[in-house]
Amino acid sequence: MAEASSSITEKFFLTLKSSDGDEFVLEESIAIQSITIKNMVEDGCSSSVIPLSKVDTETLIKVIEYMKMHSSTSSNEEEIENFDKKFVSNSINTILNILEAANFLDINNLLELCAEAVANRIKNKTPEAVRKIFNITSDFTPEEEAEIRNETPWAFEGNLDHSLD
Amino acid sequence: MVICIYQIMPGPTTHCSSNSMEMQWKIMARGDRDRLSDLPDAILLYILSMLGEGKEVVRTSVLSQRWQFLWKSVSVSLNFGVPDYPYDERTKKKILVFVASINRELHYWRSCEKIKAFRVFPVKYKEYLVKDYDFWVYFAMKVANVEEFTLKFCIINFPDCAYKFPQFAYKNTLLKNLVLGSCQLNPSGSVTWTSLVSLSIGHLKLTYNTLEKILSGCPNLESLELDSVLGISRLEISSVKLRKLIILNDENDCYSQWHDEDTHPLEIFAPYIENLVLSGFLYNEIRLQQSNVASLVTAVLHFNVDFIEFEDEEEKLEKEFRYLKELLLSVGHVENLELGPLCIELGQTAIMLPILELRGWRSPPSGCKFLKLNATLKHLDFAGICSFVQSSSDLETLVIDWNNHKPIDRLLSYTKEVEQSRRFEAHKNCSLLHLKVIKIINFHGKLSGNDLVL
Repeated sequence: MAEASSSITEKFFLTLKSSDGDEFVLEESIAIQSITIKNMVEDGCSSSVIPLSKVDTETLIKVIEYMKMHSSTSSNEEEIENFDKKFVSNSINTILNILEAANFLDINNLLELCAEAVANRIKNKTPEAVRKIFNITSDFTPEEEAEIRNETPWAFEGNLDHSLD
Repeated sequence: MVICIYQIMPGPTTHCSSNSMEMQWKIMARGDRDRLSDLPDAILLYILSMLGEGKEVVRTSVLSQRWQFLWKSVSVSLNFGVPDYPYDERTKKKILVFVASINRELHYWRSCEKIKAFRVFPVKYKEYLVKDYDFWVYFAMKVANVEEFTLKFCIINFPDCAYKFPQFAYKNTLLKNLVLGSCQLNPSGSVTWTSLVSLSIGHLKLTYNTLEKILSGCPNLESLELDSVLGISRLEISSVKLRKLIILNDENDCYSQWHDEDTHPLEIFAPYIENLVLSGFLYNEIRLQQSNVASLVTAVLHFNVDFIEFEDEEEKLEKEFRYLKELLLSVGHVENLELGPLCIELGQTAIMLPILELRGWRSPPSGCKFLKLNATLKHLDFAGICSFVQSSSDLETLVIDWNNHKPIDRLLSYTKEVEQSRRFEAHKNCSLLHLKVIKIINFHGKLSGNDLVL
């Protein structure tokens, strides 16, 4: 009973270990924004270090930054909004890393934010630009590609953006 | 020395090698592989679903074989036109091009099974396009079985010569959200919209019977929006599920064009609604009685009162004041109250709640716990706010939003400095035992001495 009441005031900390072997100590209340981590905590698997074999150090730092900003105790709406805006301006490669991590860690808001950032870099762009931005190699022959385009010519009309921003 | 220069301005050989180094670095940084295409289908579909428009999604089919058929599993939204269609694109030729492009695209989407929403905003109703409108409705309701359908004409017609919503469309069991703007609704038989959750109808004339018929055909309706709906003087909502009622009225020339007799007072009987929004211009009374909206939890009142039937200014003003008081009384039991600048049209200026208070009226006691005031005046508002806050002894959260409006100086003449400060003194004594949060947003002026009031 005494323990239970002290746990209310006491902060719990978790240790997250990246795939590069770096360890990060984080308040439990912040870390459980990740449903994966929350489930581990609830199952009692969080007493020692939580290994995140799919998340490298660089990505984990970003994810932790995000969770700290979005934890219920800190930050006002405006701060969060500005943070998110800046967050999605990361390089596309970083965004994809974070997106994969968010998917693995099951952090819904972060997954949505990253997916939207990716979608925004596809929106209104020519297929050529999308290929360059994401390093996609076309495995169609020029004839095949022309055929696909011909099926839906209206989808390729209008002023499409050639830039790689 | 030579080496130094050499290092700073490398010759052709080193330039080449540094270039390849750079390339290598780029490859390392970007990743050699196509990271996006490597993602699992579920995530790619999630990303594609965020592209919004059908066109955008289809365009990805050409990226690579990995992408060729992915789009078919994305539930797309088809949007044509925008609510505020550019004025200069109203020529017949442009309208025909617009219609043809929609038809062409719909023809293609026929075979796609996952069309979530179809929204179309034609410029203006044209008789020669009735078949096309019918086809769009048919496509949405019978072919694609969309969850959300919007048909909103941008330029509002006289209600009697607007598009007649086709009879076959009054039966649909899959539609969840329906938005109709400037369409005539007149079901000959019964209405069966069993899955409909939200319905918004606007800019039309209705009879009480038609509205009743429609509502009785939507057993699962949760939200009803009436946007500049004329002709009804009684709104009865008996469904327990229908919790949200939004009544909007445009400030629109159509009121002078349309018949004056169509702006009846509207009586609302909705014992189960929890959420009420009244917004826009009230040209006649919307009557609520506390007992008729007994379940109300949240009320957002944000409108201008302009009872056009009264020609005598003084009489009009009197009626409008009286009405505002009654209305505020009738929502005295709500928990969350948001008051816009409740305006009464007075010539060029709009006067607000505080004036009401200065005319010797005290706010009715209110049980609300959350109060948001959208204030627009610098000084006078304090009086109104204090009065309102004082009468809300259970208040827990107070939000005051100043927006960006400029204060209207001439209204200051309605009160004297002394009178004002006396009132503030009086308000200082009020106790708000439960008030926990005060938020003041968009405030640009100085708080002067008045910040002590609370």
